Amino acid sequence: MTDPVADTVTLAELADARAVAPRESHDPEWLTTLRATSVDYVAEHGYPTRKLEDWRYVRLEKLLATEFVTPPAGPSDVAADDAIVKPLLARVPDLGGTRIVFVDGRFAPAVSRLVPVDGLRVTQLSAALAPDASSTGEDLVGDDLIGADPQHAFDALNMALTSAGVHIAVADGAVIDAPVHVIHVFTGRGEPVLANLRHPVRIGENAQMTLVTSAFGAPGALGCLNVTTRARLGAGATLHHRDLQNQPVTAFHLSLLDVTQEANSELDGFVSALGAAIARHEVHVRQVGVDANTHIDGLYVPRGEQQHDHPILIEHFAEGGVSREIYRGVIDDRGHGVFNGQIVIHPGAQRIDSDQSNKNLLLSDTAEADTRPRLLIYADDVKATHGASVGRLDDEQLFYLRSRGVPDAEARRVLTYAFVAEIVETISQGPLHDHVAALVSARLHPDEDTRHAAEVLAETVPGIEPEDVR
Amino acid sequence: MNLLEIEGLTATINGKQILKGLDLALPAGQVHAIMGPNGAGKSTLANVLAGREDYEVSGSVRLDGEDLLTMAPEERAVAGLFLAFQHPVEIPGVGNSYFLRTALNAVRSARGEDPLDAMDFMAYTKERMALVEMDASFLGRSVNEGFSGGERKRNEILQMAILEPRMAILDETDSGLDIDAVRIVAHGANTLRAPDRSMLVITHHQRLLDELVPDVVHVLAEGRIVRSGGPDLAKELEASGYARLELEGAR
Repeated sequence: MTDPVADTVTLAELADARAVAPRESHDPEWLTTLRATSVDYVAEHGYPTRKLEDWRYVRLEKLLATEFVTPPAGPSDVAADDAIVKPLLARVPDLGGTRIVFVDGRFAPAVSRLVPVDGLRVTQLSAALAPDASSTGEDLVGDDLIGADPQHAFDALNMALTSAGVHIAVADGAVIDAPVHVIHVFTGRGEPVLANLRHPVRIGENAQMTLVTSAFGAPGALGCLNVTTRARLGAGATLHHRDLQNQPVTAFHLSLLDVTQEANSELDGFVSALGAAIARHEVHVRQVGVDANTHIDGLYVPRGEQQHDHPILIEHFAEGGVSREIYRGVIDDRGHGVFNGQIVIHPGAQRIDSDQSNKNLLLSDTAEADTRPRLLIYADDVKATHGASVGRLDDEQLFYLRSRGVPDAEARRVLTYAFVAEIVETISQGPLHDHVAALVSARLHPDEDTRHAAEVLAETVPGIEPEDVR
Repeated sequence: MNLLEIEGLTATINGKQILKGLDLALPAGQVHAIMGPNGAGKSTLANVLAGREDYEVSGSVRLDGEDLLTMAPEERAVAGLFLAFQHPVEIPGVGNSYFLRTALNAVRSARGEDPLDAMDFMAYTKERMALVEMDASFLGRSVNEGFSGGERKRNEILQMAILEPRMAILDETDSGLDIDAVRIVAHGANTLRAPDRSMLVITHHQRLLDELVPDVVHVLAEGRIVRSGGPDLAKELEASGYARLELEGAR
């Protein structure tokens, strides 16, 4: 089977409504309307510019000028023994649960695996949105899991062009042990792909699950992954989210994690920006129920010419909420890291406890860090703290290590990893932890033997008893 | 023979000369104490010997005949020099166990010995931890993070016990410690005395020297050694202060 030859188009051209021709005649009518509305949004608002507070630090010109193709409808026919995909997937640990793989923007059934678990429903978005899928699709819209007001033109573009995604639903009270792993892979085959994925997630009352999202690809692969994960956490629900972005440094990555939290729910988030030329990891959390808890750890390690942007908006609408953000950046060469965090405590949201912490380590004279923790408070009984720093390796620590015989380069390596260790070590021990630790170490020290690095990491863990070091 | 030979050592920082032509010879197996008033240059001497790069340095320092001043700090360490820091720095995120093993294996490699794996290292280290009354939980923590003053100093002596240097410098290891902690530190250092190991003990107080009895006591004032003598000199200083000695030194 060969794909029809596709015309390439730039994002700038896509902002012209007429360029986005109706593509899928078999969309249900409400979806056709939604897509058209989204296209109108892009046409009307255009792409964000650096005049906007949330977009002032990233340079999007290169992204907007790149020629892309949009993936054809329907699943990918990539085979399990695909010469590019198979070795890429082999580097990802098997987390034991359902694994959904998208290749160049299309669902790839041959390399995916559905592990049936009571209380967990994992559906291809295309199936949920098909005209014969009764009312599933409209339910999603009703819940704002699809649609909703776009956050910005990229979110609207995502809705207008969504070709694939996974719909995850956890039943009330269900505790799902094995993580659901959603993976996107760029192969670098053919023209650069603009992949618009959308993952609606609904966690029922008092239900729990872990969602791991990974994005990577073949070295040198071009492409833009524009992914929106929109989750609704029912009362007492818990979502552990681990986002591992390790794209080729030639790729673009735009992600939006949009979470609505009901009473007593918990979002335990982790974001790692490792790869991509430009990566934007946007987080928007709304605590609409009382006593909700939001904790997000993030790390970014731009080097070369990489830009890693982290706009985070946490809105407290209800009383008694807790929010914590801990972000660490290590920036080398001409890399650019941005922490742009905003906490909004709306009127009536009393007894909020919020904290933002961002620290940056610059490893070169041309590395750049911007850190902007911000607060908007409209209630009077709140505790809100924040701290931010930008610095270099500590000379005292360096001298201490060297005076014990640790060579200068090794001492720098150890101290650099220690800077982000606090974040990596929040992931509980296991294959996922080791995978993240190895990825981070490999990005920080691309020339190192990663096997050695992983060994070091296993031991650079404060808090373990010496008996455990075996 | 002399393990450490210092001749005409000067050290300048921010245009201010701290060491002004210091001479010192330390035979193998001996313990020498350096005492002196604040600002005399005691800690500067320790830091210059360990290779801190903040100073402009001239003169000559030989460790077992090798030119120490041209070596990087890590080269000095593997050559057998060790500094127990006056203010050991916290290193959050770096496990004590990893740190100690990395340091030990760097030194072992320089001595032509095989690196120790995690298990052998643990056996090797536990023995030495008993020496300074440290329990195993220290190894699981980050380097010096959240350590009390006494724990930090004991951690320094533990490192000395693990690395087995030929030349150890103790920079005010007793400062800020209560009497019991001084005794633990002194006991650790005493146990490490050996015919092929020398120590330079920098201190303000005689009480450490009551436990860790030196072969020679030097008085450092105004960037030079102004007087040297036996252990009794420390007692004399405790009684009469440094003022008279400085006058003698100036003559």
